[in-house]
Amino acid sequence: MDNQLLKILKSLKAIEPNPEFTKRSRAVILAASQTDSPFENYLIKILRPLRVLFAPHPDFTQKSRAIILSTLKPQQYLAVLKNRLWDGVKYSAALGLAGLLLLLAIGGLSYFNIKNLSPVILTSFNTQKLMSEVDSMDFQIKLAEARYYSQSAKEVAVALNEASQNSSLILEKEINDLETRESLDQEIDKLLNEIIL
Amino acid sequence: MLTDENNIIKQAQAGEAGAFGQLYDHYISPIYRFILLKVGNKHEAEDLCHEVFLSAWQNISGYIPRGFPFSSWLYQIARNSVIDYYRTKKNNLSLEGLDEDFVRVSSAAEDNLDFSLNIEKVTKAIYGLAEEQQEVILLRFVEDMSHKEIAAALNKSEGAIRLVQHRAIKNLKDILANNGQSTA
Repeated sequence: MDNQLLKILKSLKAIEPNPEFTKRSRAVILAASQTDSPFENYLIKILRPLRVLFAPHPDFTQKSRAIILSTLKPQQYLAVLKNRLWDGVKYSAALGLAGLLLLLAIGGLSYFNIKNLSPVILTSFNTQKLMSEVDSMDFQIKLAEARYYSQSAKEVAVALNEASQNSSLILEKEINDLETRESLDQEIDKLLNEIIL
Repeated sequence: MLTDENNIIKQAQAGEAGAFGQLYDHYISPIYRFILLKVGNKHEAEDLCHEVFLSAWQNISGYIPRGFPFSSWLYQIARNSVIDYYRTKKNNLSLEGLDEDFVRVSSAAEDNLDFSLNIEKVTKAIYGLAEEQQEVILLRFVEDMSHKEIAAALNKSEGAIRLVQHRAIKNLKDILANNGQSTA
């Protein structure tokens, strides 16, 4: 009896719905979820206009868009930072090289007694020598100037003395010279007139 | 969904601001609406909306298209932003926290008065729902998204979304009935 009952129950497993029914029922159910119930239609009617009513303000949209699109992304921040660091390194290297070349050109390395590296060796970079040169130079210049000024002062004094003493004699001589010249000029004029006339 | 959206996304991922600008222009309104209807305050909605798109722009290189619209990803970011906003405010949005100016829909004409009142009542009723139910109602009936798209946006299965919608509608009916709203 139990075995028969088991067999019957197991055979019930084979019962399947009609495929045609399954197909139609499935379509109806799925269609029902797509087409809205009256309440859902009401919700659509009420809520759909919110798309227009609750639109963002154009001013906000414009400003927000501009700010966002001008913002660098994290990868771009790194790239910009790398570029700027590299530019800084290049600039510093260029300045350093320029400074070194200038130093070499003016013989600055001679300060370090690296004679082979400096094309021009100036003794004046040696401070002790420089000081002694300066000291002697000033002294000599001053002496020469002093001698010159004292000499010229003496000569001027002599000339003035002579001028004051001999001034009357000099004047007479000048007057005599002038008279002689005038008489000569008159004779020349007479001769010229005779020739012309 | 934008025409040729996948190409636009690829260009945006390559760093083209113009391409992301197209995505912004297309999705700003629905994302803004979604956030506004969840937080109930225009200024807060603008701030959160800006943060959503800024975050999207900065992290777009990590976006992987999975056959869903780009909006699904944006809605996920928007949801997370609103959740963080609620966490800061220490409570979910309730009717008490709602900006009254937001729900008051002004209408110049008398014949639209009933309609305006209906919008106000339904909008307030939506805020009486659980957060997930609110989102499904808004995405389905305001933004006209399919269940599949909503499922992608909310990181759930399509079947789960249908179930949530069913419960949401039932609860909404009850709230409106309790408030004396006719659904005829």
